[in-house]
Amino acid sequence: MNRRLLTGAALALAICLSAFAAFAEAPAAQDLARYKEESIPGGLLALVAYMAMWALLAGFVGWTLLRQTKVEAALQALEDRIDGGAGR
Amino acid sequence: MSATAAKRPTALLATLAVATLLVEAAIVYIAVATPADVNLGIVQKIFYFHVGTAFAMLISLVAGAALSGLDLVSPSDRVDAAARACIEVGVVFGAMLLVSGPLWARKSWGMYWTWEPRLTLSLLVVLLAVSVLILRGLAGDSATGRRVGASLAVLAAPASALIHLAVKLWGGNHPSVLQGGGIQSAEMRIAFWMAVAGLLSFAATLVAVRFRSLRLQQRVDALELDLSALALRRAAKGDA
Repeated sequence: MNRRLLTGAALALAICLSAFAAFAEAPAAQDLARYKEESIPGGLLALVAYMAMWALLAGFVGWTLLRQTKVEAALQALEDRIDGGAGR
Repeated sequence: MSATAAKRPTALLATLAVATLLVEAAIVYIAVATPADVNLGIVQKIFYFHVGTAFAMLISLVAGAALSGLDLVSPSDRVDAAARACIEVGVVFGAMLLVSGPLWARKSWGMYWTWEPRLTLSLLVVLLAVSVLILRGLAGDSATGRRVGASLAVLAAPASALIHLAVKLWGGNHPSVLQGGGIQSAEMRIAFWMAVAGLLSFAATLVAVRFRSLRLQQRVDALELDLSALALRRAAKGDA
């Protein structure tokens, strides 16, 4: 258990420390000019944004339903164990 | 019929359906009634849901932080489950925020990401919440893991407040929506508040669904422990 806790704490620390990327340099002026010259249709960006947002939300709802089904299965198994114990 | 099947969360499913309808109504209204932004064009339509996801993330994470603080002061399984549910939903809306923002920024600023205060703080807060969930997932039911996770989660509250104040305190590229930026007409205002209401109700419903699931898991774990203890006692009696 302590090993898992330490692994979790180390991972958590690593994730938090990754925010130090904030000290990375801003893009160079010529890169920024190049980005601005490229034209990506606004409609495409909006469509991708909406699709990604709903995919994330649907993914979470699906994951929640999966977890719920697992918990209900565990509860059913417990009920069976209790019924089995009462019968003896 | 088993007891599990009999306890289907009808009210929760109905609330989820209402929240989905609200969000869908907002999408239709945005597509049909709102005009394209005079400067940015159609890409500005990302903004309606981007801001709503930001509100949902901030409220969920601040609630998660407050509940974690409460759990640190007086530990309770119920409060712990509520805090975890809030943080999980906060992470999902944070991910939506971090995906939609750069797509809008690409057209508006000419780049997907810049390390300006509000963006950096948003990323930091989402990473903090993800780290809490990873820690809790790996630590299982350990009391130490729970306390460390709760202590980390409490930090999300001041960080979230700083996200809100970042533009005022340090400037940066990010527009400040509630001070008038981004909304140019009455239709835009209606669409904005429809999206915010839909997303907040969706977030609240998801928190309730996850809370119910986590509470059920806690009860199953407690029952399994009780059953194991009972089996051990029976075995000991049998030996005697």
